[in-house]
Amino acid sequence: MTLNSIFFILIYMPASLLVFYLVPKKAKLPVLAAAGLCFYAASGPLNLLFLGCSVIFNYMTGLEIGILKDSAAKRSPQIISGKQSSDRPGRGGEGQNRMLIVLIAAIAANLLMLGIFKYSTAVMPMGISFFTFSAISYLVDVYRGEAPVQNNLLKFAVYITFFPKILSGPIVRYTDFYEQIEKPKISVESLRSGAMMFLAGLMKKVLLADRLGVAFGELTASGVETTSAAWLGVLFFSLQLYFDFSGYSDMAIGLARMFGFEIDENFNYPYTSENVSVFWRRWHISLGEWFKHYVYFPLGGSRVGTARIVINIMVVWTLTGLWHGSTVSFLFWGLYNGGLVLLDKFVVGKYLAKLPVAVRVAITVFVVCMGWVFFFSPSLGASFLYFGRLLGGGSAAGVGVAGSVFARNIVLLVISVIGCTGIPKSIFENIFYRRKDHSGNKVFMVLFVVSASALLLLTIAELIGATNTTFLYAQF
Amino acid sequence: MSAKSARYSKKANEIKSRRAKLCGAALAVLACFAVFFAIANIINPRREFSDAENRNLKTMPPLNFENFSDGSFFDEAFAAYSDQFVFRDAFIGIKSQAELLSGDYMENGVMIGSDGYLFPTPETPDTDKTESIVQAVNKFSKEHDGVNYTFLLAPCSTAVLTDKLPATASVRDQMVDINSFGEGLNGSVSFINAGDILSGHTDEYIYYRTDHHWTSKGAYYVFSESAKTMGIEDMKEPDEHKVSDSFFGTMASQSGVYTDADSISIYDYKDVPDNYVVNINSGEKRTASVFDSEKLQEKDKYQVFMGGNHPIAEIVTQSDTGKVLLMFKDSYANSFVQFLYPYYDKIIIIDPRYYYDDPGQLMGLENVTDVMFLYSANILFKDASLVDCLGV
Repeated sequence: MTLNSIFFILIYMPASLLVFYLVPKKAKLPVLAAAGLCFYAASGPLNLLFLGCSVIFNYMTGLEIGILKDSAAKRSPQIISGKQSSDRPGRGGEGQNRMLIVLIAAIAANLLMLGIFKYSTAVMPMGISFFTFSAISYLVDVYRGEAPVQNNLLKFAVYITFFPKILSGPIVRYTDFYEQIEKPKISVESLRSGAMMFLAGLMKKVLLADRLGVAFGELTASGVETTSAAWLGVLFFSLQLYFDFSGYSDMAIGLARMFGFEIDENFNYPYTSENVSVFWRRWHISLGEWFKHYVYFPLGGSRVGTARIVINIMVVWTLTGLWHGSTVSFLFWGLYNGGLVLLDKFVVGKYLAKLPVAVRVAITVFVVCMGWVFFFSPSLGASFLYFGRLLGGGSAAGVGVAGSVFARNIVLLVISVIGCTGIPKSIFENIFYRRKDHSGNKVFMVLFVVSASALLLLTIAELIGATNTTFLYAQF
Repeated sequence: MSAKSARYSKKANEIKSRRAKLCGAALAVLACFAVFFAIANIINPRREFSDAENRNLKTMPPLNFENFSDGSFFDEAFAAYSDQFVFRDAFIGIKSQAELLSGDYMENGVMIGSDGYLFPTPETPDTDKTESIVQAVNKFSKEHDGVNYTFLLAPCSTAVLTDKLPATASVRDQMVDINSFGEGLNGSVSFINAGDILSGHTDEYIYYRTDHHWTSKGAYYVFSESAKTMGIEDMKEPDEHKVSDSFFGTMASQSGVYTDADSISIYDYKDVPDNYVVNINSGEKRTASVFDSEKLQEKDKYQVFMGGNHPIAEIVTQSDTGKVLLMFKDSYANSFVQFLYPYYDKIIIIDPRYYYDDPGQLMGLENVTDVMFLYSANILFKDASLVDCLGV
């Protein structure tokens, strides 16, 4: 079950919300945990077993770190107070060393499991990349003293298995979450604004991303034969990836809000960024933040010499590439983007800054989108072949696939390109929120309800229609 | 508080209040949908079969340890939920219409053209496959020489009714593919590109609008203009009878777009006695007609011709022409056969996709005088069963 499945939207989500709001305060967290476990179990009960082990292992490790921390604090109280503790908690005697060993061992165990599933042929438990990172975030935050140890297994389980985010993120840092577990902001306000966000994300995902995906599939179904098809393929994939992931993230954030949890935005109009560094601060923000806090900063971040900065950035990007997938293409994609960031930071950035904004945005979008070729190609060889096509290699005698796909999807393309900017949101807000006249409120309300219902109906039609699998009897 | 900041705060409050109301409306819409569809789906009677999609719909699977532990229970249950969804067919229609409105004339591989025509996407030939077919036919004709060989290849409607295609459609030119296929055949096999004949009748009803086959009229034009090549003299004039006007074919099912229903006509020769016998699958079924009128009650009414596809069918006639025809074919031939019985003593029809015996043996055994290959390009270009069947 995914957030964009019709069963989830029309049955699972309303039912779990209903139960969550109806039960007394004390029962809300158990309901949330149960809803998360059931949601996850639908991806295969064996996965649930693995998730359960992961939850218990990390919970126990957290407790262990807590105990060691307490005993270390008794011996040298200054360690846990003040900034010093979060920066360099490792200095402080035997207790500190043992704590560090426990932390490293636990992180290694988590990453080992992730690695085994990711790089072997074993069926990967859904969302393992995301919940493993959540667990590591917890352990490190507790070790650093940025968050208290979670003694309550149920509350810890809610952090890991919170179903809006378990399958595809956003990867919420424990420091941003633990206070909310104690006291979710359950209110009508968060319920309704969450609903709005969920619906907007759902429509981005189903009405734009899925349609773009169909077009991309058509272009690449029988191998990209022409240069025009190759360029169009990059365009469609770049748009699809954005609407797919940002739509899904919006759904997750909206859903979390409906349950009283605030999760920071995961995308902030990345395709309007002026340079690559900014782009990556606005794309999959939660993953970038994770790497910043748990890899880049501990390595010294930017407060070190140039050579170290270069190494640090490349380490982060190598890991980012590996996190995304097990093929060499993903590694290349990571290195490519690390290279771009370095190039921008140390070589061409100051020259580019003199160019007009539109040109800078165009350059940024162009180089990032070229990187997606590594992302969507099944192998490194295939991606270089694809670059060859982009540069005019291959047969010129195409069959007009590109022309046909382009002609049929012009409207979709225009909407999607505009949708990458803040324009639709500002138009929406100007019409519905900021307009000057105060008389026609009812008319605008009717307009909104009718259009929202129509779009939701269309979304359901797209979801149902996607399962229209005609048995082509007479072809045989 | 200054007047300016009072105005500002009033405005901010108004924005906040409008936002809250609108978000409330979004929540209400979501809730209404959930309640409505929960009730509607409970009331909605369970369907076993979808006429529109021509397939069995999934129903709720029984829960057991096995399907629970491997997770397949949930996959099947979600699929069943979607298959049994209330107004499913209407939703599929909404999807197609919305996409059509946005300028996307292609729905699930089907192009929506003018005058209610739904066009299939021409198949891209797999050159290795087509080359092996050419070789197999050439070799077969060499091994069994002394008989007339005809290879008739028909394009899909997309290649013929080009003026009805969507204005911006750019499709593969199947006529070129058909001709280059024909060029590979050796001289003893007469090749006919049915598209050359059909192109002269584009303003007539030669292809179904909602199905991927040619109509009886289209098949008749092709037959009458290729008869000479097939060695048929003394052509007789058949009569046309309309037998259905409520046919929605494969293209409608595949796209979910139901334009105008098609009509089906059959032909018969009033001056020729039709006392022939059709023997399907070596005695499995015997009838006295190349038409199966029961199929007109079913969804796929094209099966009225020959009752659909069979591994082997024989038509034994009283025509006394001394000629025996062996035909290798796909479903396009089913509506072509109705024109043939006056001209052969026996017609043996083999569908290589389902026939696993050696047709070479039949050549001598049945004293075959004519061999015909009749295919639609969209099937031939993706199906190499003819190669296996010819066994060369």
